[in-house]
Amino acid sequence: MRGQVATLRSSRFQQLTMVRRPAVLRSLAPLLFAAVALAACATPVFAHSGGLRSAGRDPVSAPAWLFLLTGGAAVGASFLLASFVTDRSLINAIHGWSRSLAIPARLLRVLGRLVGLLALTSILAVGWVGPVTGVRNLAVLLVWVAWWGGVVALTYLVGNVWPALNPFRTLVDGARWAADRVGVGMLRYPDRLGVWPSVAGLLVLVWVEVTAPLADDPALLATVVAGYGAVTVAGGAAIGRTWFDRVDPVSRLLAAYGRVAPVARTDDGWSLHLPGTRLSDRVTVGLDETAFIVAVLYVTTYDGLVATGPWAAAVERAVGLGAPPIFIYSSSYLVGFGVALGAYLLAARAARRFAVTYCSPATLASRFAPPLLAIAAGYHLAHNILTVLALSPALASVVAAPLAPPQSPPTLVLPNWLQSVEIAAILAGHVLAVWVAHAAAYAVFPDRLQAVRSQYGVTVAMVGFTMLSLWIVSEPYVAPPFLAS
Amino acid sequence: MSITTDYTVPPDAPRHDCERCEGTFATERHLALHRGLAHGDAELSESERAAFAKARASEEDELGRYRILALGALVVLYFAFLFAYAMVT
Ligand SMILES: [Zn+2]
Repeated sequence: MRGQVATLRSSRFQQLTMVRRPAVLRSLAPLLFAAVALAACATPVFAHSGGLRSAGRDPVSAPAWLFLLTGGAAVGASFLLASFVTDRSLINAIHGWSRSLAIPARLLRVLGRLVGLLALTSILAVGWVGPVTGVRNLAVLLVWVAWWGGVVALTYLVGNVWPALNPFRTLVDGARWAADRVGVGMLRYPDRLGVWPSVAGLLVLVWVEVTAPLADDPALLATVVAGYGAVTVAGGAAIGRTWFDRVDPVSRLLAAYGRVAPVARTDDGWSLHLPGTRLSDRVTVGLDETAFIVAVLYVTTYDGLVATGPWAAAVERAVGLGAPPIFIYSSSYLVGFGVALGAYLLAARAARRFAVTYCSPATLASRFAPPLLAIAAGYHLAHNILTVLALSPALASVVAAPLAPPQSPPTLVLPNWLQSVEIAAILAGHVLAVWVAHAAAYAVFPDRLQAVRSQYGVTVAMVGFTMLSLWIVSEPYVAPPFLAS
Repeated sequence: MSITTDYTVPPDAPRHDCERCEGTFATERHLALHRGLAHGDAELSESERAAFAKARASEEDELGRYRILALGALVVLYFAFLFAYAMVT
């Protein structure tokens, strides 16, 4: 059974379709270097590396440290390059560019609601009574490939479709409609809670995802979806749509990813923007919103980190010393989040000193948090795009016959060069984040030297984080020890 | 720009307050630039406009020096990696 999981989730699936990846990934390091070189002298060095490859030379494998340093340097170089753009009106033009869009929203919304309800019904029904093998079960494929891979990627690449698709929102609307008929009012959401419940909810959901074999056991997956659904519908029935705006971690996660996307909802319709440019808008306020954004980035990293060899070795050593596994996982998870949030707040506080400004630390923290969403989106894409591509034929064949799927559903065998898309996605996310933070700094500070200097701390943090992310994707998958399977 | 920003000023720190909003700054130059950018030409007095132009010029000078340093850093980075790749592969 464990082998089947490997075909499903993010890093968990790489054993099946891929050769060992570090060597392949590191052989791409010269390409990465070419990207830095491109940045450094702003000349098309890519042609050079392309020439090397077309000359038929085998790609040379660089050592891991150099591969990681190169990734970090690419981000550092993009900070230096961004700082050359000092024309306020150019930055405003890029970030203010928009076109209004005509979208048949009403039709799409009705369609989305139907698809959402149908998918939810299928997940529950097929999850409980369908085939027990993960990759043959429609529930597992719908949740991990179609939703977590596809819908989430659609959310940051195009626009947030989740409000239209979310079956629980449809159910809540129905419940509210019925409640209004019989005269049952709504409860008031206590404002002082802010969006803290969604921070806790996100941590809990990802905790369940990491520790329970949700790609392995369709019935368990259906039960978790039902449990989450029951809480969501009850909460939504009690406080209305505020639930989805403030409490529900899934809706808030997709809304956060949606802020990266080019298509946005406006007061009177839809508008098109350049990707990521809306992240420099001032929207987040308060530590709770900032903590949520940090949590989005943190949980994605933790999910990848627990599937690496050094993590497995460290856990085994700790268990050997007598610590219960559940304690190790939960304490490292929570402490890790505290460290991530603390590190981010320190980086934001450093901006206050470097920029010589009296803007409050909270203002700075909330201004520079949204760019992190571009990093999270890049990381999500890196982790999931290969899974979605490889398993999309399996999804199609299982959708066609949910209760009698083929014994081994077809998968796409992906060419190795597609792995470079993973690196490209991680770097693109970081470079976009560097640029957006640059634009946000220009909006905050009157002096352009302040804007540049305010980014020193954040850039150092981003360079470190890039190297960590690249290390995680380049490590071979190792099943996290001591978890139920 | 209607961006609301909270300011916290350490006690005894030099402060330069904006007369038109609650903006407060650590240096005269930041305040002069803030006046010109946030409150616009039409609102400014003759001396404030002159201060804005002067602050602009000093900002440009410093940006020019920063650009040379940043360019230097990029060149160093480029050759460090060129060297590293030449040594390793
Ligand atoms: Zn002012």
